[in-house]
Amino acid sequence: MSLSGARGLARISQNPRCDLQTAMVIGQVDEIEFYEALTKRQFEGEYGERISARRRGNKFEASLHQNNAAELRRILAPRFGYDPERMYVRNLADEIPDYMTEVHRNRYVRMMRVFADVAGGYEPPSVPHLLIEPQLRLPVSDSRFVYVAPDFAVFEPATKCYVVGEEKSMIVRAGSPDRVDLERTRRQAGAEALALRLLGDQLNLFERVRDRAIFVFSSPFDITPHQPVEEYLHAEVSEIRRALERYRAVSEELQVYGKEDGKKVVARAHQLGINFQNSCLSSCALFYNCKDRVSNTAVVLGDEAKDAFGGTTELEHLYALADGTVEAKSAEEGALAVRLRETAILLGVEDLCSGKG
Amino acid sequence: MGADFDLLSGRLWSRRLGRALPIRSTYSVTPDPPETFGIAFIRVAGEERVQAVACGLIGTRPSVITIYNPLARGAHELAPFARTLDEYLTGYYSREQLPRIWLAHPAAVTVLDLLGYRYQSNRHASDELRMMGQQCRALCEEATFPGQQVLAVASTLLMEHIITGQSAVEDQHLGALLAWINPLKGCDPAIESQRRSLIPAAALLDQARDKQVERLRRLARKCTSSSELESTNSQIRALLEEGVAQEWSLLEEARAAFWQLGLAPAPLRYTSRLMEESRERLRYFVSVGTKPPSRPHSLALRLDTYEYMAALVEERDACCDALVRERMRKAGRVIAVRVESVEQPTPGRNPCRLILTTDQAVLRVRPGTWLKSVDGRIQGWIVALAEGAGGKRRIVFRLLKGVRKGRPRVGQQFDMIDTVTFDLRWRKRAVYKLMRQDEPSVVYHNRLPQSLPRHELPNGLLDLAEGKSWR
Repeated sequence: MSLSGARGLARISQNPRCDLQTAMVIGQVDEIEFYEALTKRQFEGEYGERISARRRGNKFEASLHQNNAAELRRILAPRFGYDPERMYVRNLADEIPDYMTEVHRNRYVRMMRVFADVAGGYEPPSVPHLLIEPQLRLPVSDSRFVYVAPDFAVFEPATKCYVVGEEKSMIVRAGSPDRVDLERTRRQAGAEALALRLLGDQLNLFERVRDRAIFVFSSPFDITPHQPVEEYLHAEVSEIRRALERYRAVSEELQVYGKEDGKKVVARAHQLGINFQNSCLSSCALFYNCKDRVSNTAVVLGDEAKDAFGGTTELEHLYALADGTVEAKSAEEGALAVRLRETAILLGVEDLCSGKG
Repeated sequence: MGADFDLLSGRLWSRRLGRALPIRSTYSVTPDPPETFGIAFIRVAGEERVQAVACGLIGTRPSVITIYNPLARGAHELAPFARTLDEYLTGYYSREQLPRIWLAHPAAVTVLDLLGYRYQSNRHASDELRMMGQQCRALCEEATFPGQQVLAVASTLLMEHIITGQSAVEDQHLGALLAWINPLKGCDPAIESQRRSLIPAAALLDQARDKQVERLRRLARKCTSSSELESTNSQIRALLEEGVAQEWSLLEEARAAFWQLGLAPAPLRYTSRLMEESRERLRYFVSVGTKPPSRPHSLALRLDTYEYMAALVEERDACCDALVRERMRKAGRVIAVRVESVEQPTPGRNPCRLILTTDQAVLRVRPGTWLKSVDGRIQGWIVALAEGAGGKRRIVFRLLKGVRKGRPRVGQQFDMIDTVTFDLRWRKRAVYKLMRQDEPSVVYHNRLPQSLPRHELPNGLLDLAEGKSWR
């Protein structure tokens, strides 16, 4: 799974306090290689997308983009009041294929030109109604950028500006796809919306760019698209801003600036701080490694336990408090000890406390 | 520190003990009928299409169906599953009994729901498959109601009844959860749970098998001779059968672990209503269909039913499950009271007021809250709450049920609970019927009615607004 671009920023935004993950994203290291270098063990779990899921995703996008994006035009046109047959489409992936950084830069230059036209008051058909794989970027230092590429951007007549869009092959049931998948997609789109906003700011389009995105998901029947959904992403955009700040801070602190510093990240991995939390289970290959690092503290019991007992409180200390073998240092600790004993009695495991308290 | 804190500290004790701990003293579902049906699926990741099904009565050898090419348009391979499910459900309807179907985890419910969604009104599918679609949708719709007694989802049920020494997100993996319920001797359940979580428990093949199946499917497309194709297909079948057998044994293990928790069954007087509601709903969904409610009146009725069912479940738990009751007490919803005095001018007649005291620190009640005793003999509502002597709280309680025979004596102590259920659905249904006839624009058309100038308001309404009249 790639840690570059919007996906990497989405990962940081999920857990901005984890320096280890932020460094992994900055160095764009291979997560499995990183795990094996860090633990000196082979990675046993499941990692990355299944072949069938990747195939479906590619097929879904291809079906939307084929024949001059006929399917995408068909579902987007009514929402924006266009005639699908008269929509002007530019596919930047066809114009400049491949995925090298140089390619990103060239695509971005073309994107800038389109936006300059928009800022100059041009409207479709002088500028495209629909841009496929437009290129945007987010600054992480004075001279470095993270390139992000939405699946499409569509010109909205009401705001006279583009809105970014994401195509995902996940199935919509009862009006919405799976909650966890949707959260990741929204964060990814948040990074793209922020990048569009920054581009708009450069060209004085402040009021015309909004924090929102159009999502095109799949219906339960094959790969036919569901009705597009427009969502506001204020929270996600603000979290991505925070993730960018964290990116810059960690990058400066570790003197790690990009893929070329990947080895530096691996070498310093043991010294980097972690922030173990529930969401790590579904997103990070290092989950069990980090769990081992915190296995004797309350955080191993989940985020709620971290809030209730304190993240760094050792389990042994909690047991000792309940046993009465350790003096409570504060009134709160005293109350905690009483509650722990009460729960033990309620659950019928009072034998586990020696009852000296 | 409320009731949730008890569950968190339960995790702490479970970790110290090295095994899961029960957090209920009674089962939330009624015992399985003699014939219990089970379904295990293997789906294609991302596509959510079924590629293998194991189904049949639990305790017997399941029938296994494998689909070589799940992305093909034809669905005739699913016909045996449709027949088996229909046979089971029809048998139970004809005997006027409630069926019970076990699934391993919520991922299996999603697959079942999608099967229903795809086939229930598919004109290209056979009648048999359409019926299967309708039945699958009916089961999944029923699963959304609190306290339903038809669909038993093993991992959800286990998480409702036990607590483990790992985090709640790790509990969502059924294999990892079972490692804490049946810990191996001399093995740390945390380590065993980690080992078991490497094998997917979400209606998927493990990654190695999945890659092999994908490779074989690509090969099958290129096969030139029928013998070559047959050999490739039999390899695919073998891999899918292994995968679905693994899911089936996980389901059986989870079900056995659930019933081996050894909790008491909830008394029939609390569960019979839930069973009856489940049976009626399932019959309705299968015969009429499960179009999701979308109009205001049908949505309102659905929400009322959810609310009523949730209240019934809460009442059952508060009345017959000691562990749940203790957690509700900590949340201030169950109150231990002492009768200080009884004010009843005419013995055995209304009005009757009880003066109750409690020294419970947390109370989530206020004047107007309905309370009843755990045995249901007395019921009424709170008239006033006040601070009493010695830090106690004084409750003035208007007794409405139990005025004659069940009236408590002075000095008597007992628990009062705030789960008093009223089934007002029949009355609300009449209101919704009128609402549907009138179609008020504020409800049905998402726009407010024209505002009327004040002088045009009917007099009665003005009086009411100014508090002059209750007409």
